[in-house]
Order: sequence, then structure tokens, then C-alpha cells
Amino acid sequence: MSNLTFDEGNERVNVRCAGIIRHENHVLVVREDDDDFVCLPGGRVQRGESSLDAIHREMDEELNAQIKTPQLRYVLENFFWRYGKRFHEFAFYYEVEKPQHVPFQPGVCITGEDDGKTLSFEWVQTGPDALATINLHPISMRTRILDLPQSFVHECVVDPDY
Amino acid sequence: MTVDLSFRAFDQHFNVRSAAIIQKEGHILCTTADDLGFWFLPGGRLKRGESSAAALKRELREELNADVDVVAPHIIAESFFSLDHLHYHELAFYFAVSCPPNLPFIVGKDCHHLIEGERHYRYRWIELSPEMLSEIDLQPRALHAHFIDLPPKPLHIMFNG
Repeated sequence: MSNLTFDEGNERVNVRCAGIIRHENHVLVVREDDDDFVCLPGGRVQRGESSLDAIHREMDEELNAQIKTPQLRYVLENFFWRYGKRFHEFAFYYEVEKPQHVPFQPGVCITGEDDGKTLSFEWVQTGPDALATINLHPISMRTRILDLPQSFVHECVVDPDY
Repeated sequence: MTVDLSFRAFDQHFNVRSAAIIQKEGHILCTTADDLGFWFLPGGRLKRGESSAAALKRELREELNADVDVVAPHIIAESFFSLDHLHYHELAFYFAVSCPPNLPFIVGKDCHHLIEGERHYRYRWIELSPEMLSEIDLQPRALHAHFIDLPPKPLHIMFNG
């Protein structure tokens, strides 16, 4: 299966899923190699795969976690620049229960590997300030993690520099 | 350059579309093309860099010559189906839209036509009953019940077929 990523020139269309894993006013974020930003754990949805199947697969691949009943919280149509590309992204954010084996501790709490890249996970406070300091991307998620909607919310977010 | 969000690899298609749920007096506006054999809701594919709401606004202007407010989707559907031996993976945003004032409410025959390229599209008000929606084969069938009773809060749904 291939990822739902479509490049043309410097434009990229992308479908992604991510997990919002919260614990004691913190949220789990992941850094690839030595990137200067972090993301929520997750990845690209594949052809023929639903976002729900994708979140189960990604949590298994990245965190070795078999998750139960992820709850959809946000569907974002996100427009932003990254890696010199203009992104048009459809993102499904699921709230996921903290996997028991992921330790709740300061600094890098667990590492993994994806596509030859090292993944370093850490817990960050859920407030927008802490998420800005650690440079969480996309920027739109910094204000959307503290209070999650009961059912899901659909939003269209255009970064100021898009 | 703007390009439709429709991507093909071998016999696999992925596309993203927006559609309008336009209801009036117990009917819903449906469309079909040529001898397609099934009906669908007005709308079309998103283009690169275009939001689902902007895409629907543009499509309704092109199709119905109507300027309507498109606010938030009522249904977001991830669906997987086959058509003409091709496999489709579709992401669709369904918006409830008020009936454009210029669109005639005539029941039992076509109320609007559109020629686009070589295709001839017909529009018709179809009674919002499970029987009628089945009879005309409105696609996707998995959403008939939700078209009849709009979900009270946004619905995310995944289905085959």
C-alpha cells in the first residue's frame, strides 16, 4: 500500500492521522531525528485505509501500542509551508488513551524508529505556551489540545504564511 | 496551476469531494449525467489549496449559477468502493445548504440542466423517502438515512460500497 501523499512541483496534498495522548496535564509529542520541531505521534493514511485503521496501525508501529477505542476530536483541513513545500493536508486527530508501557517521566520517555528515522517521544504541558516553546507543528494544534471537544470538530486552518 | 484532488495509481483512485445536501419540502436535489445509471448530490472535487467549503461554493456557482452560504460540513465520509473495475478511496464533505432562490421547485421532472464538456447533467428534486432514494440509486447508499434525517451534530462515517 502507498501513502496518501501527492506531490506536484512544490505542492503536496497529504492525508494524515495523529494521536492526542494526554496524561496529567501533559501531551505526548514526537521528534524525528534532530528536527527543530515536534509533532503529535501518527503518520500518513494509506490508500484503501480509513483514518481509524491508520491510527491503530501508526500507534502500533511507532509506540508498539495496541490502542482501544480512539475517539475522533478534530478533522482539520490544514494549509501550511514545511520543508519548502506548500502543504494541503487533511488531518484526523484521535484522542488515544495513554499506553501503559509508555513511562510518564521528564525528558525523552521512549524512543522508536520509523523509515530509518529515530523517533523520540516526550511529555509536554498541554498549554499553548509550552507547546509553542517546544515548537509543536502544525501550529494550529497548540491551542487545541488543552480542551478537547466532546464530539469531533471540523475546521479549516490556514497558516498566516501560506 | 490548480488541479483536482483526484489521484490515480494503477487501478486505485483517491479523491476528495464536497457535496451539497439541498432540501426543500420533503425533497432533496439530486443530479445524474448521461446514462450513468445512478444519482448523486451536487458538488465536485476540491482543487489543490482549496478548502472543502470554498470548493462547494465554487461548484454550486458553476453548476447552479447560485451564490450560497457554505458553513460547516454535517457529514465527513471516508468511503471505499468500486466503479468500472476501479477502486476508489474517497474523502467527502457533505454540507447542508439552503435552496438557491433561482432554482425552480418542480417535482417529477428535471428542474435544471447543465452541459459541461461532453457531459449532460440533469437535476431533479427527489422525495426524501428510503424507497425513492433506493429506486433512483442515490449514491452513496450508506448515507440515505442521514440525508433523510440530518445528523444533529457533525457525523464522521467510514464505509465500504
